[in-house]
Amino acid sequence: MKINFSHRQSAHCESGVAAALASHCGIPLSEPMAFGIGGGLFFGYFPFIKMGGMPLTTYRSATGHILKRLCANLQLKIHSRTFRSAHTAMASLDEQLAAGVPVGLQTSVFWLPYFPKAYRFHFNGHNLVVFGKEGDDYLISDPVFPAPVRCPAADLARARFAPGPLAPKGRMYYLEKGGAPDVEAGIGDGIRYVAKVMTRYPFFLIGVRGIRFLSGRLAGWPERLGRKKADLHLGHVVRMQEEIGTGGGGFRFLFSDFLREGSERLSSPALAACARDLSSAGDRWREFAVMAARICKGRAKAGDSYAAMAAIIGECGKLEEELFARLHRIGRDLK
Amino acid sequence: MAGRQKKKGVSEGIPLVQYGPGSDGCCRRISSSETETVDVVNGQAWQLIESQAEEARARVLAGQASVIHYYMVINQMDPAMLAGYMGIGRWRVKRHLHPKIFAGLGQGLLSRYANLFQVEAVDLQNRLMLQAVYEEGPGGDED
Repeated sequence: MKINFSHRQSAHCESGVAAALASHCGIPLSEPMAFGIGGGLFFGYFPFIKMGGMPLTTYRSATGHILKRLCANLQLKIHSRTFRSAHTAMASLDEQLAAGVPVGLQTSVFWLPYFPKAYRFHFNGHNLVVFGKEGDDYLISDPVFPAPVRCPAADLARARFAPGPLAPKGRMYYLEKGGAPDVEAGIGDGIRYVAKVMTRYPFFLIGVRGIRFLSGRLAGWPERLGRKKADLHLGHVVRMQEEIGTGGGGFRFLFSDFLREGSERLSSPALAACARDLSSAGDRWREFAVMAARICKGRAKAGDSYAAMAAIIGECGKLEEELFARLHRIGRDLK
Repeated sequence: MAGRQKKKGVSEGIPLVQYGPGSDGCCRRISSSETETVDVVNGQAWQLIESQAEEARARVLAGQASVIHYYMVINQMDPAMLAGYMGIGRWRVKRHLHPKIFAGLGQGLLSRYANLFQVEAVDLQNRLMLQAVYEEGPGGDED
């Protein structure tokens, strides 16, 4: 059994799945549009939440947020449920497939055998689309991969019921078209939401204030933690920023492409200018990552230091503060 | 385990979608299997796991921990996560990490552990330290 579902590769799993499912419902969307309308860009540094012993740093909003906001903005109905037992969860998946509906799943990456070894960590926030079943294998459109993949039922069941932080509890979802979508209004909402969170969130670890806070903390890591642990913390930040699913530069490039596409749809040169500025902020983030990688590898060049990295992140904060304040003003005049 | 050093990048040559600045200063979608920066930090994370695995192996060989401890560590779990997968209390998992208590473990629990770690129950009984579930192919570095 195989549903006619067009697979497409994306940078980020959730916005890729969201774009593909929305397109399947008759609203053609690119990945950056899904990411932007879903209000995906974020920054948060939470030293008191540990992931594998490392402080949580995130460049995107919480798992599930993008899909929720996108659907609300585009009048899509989202049918989402979780399960207690793996048996019912798999049966329910089969039922939807039999009805011809491609189904989105939240899973762990660790148990998916088609992932290269280097990615197989206990990360529970992965998203994929199941669009068929052949024998014991599910046919999966996993946005990370260039082509559809297969996964044995036992592995998929385990991936759906991984315990721990962000436990998916078998979460599955599918979309249904509601009223007429207003993509332009969705663009405005995505911009307003992200600009607000980045500049006005009343908590010092979130948005540009969070970026500044990280900059200050990072400079002190070698003294506070010792060199070895500081390098591990640093590597973890870079992984959150550059590893699989971010599209590079901690999602800044992805959101910049959304602003560009939005500027074309709304014919707004001011938005296009913001897209370029965010792209240069992304460049700075990447500069930090490259320097960090040199330091982690023990191949630091002259001028590479924790202080220098902190300065770059501080600059990113400054660039983004100005940029998102401007986006906030532009957003008010949008639909 | 020294042979774990990757020659290829993290994506093993699979082209990935990324976004990057184009000539007009705006971002565009690009396809690339170039992951140099990520390779370094990803490798760093794996090095940590490998050193923890070595430590766990030594503790099991020295009789300080049960073989469950080894499989827990190489599969990047802690007692809480393992308890979640097993559907038993964390304190019970912690008990099973002691060699003496592990030796008295019933067939039922043993095969559930084996099933989770994708090895045979006999392997656990014989204290064989095989590979983690994410390693490709059967076999591996046996003890």
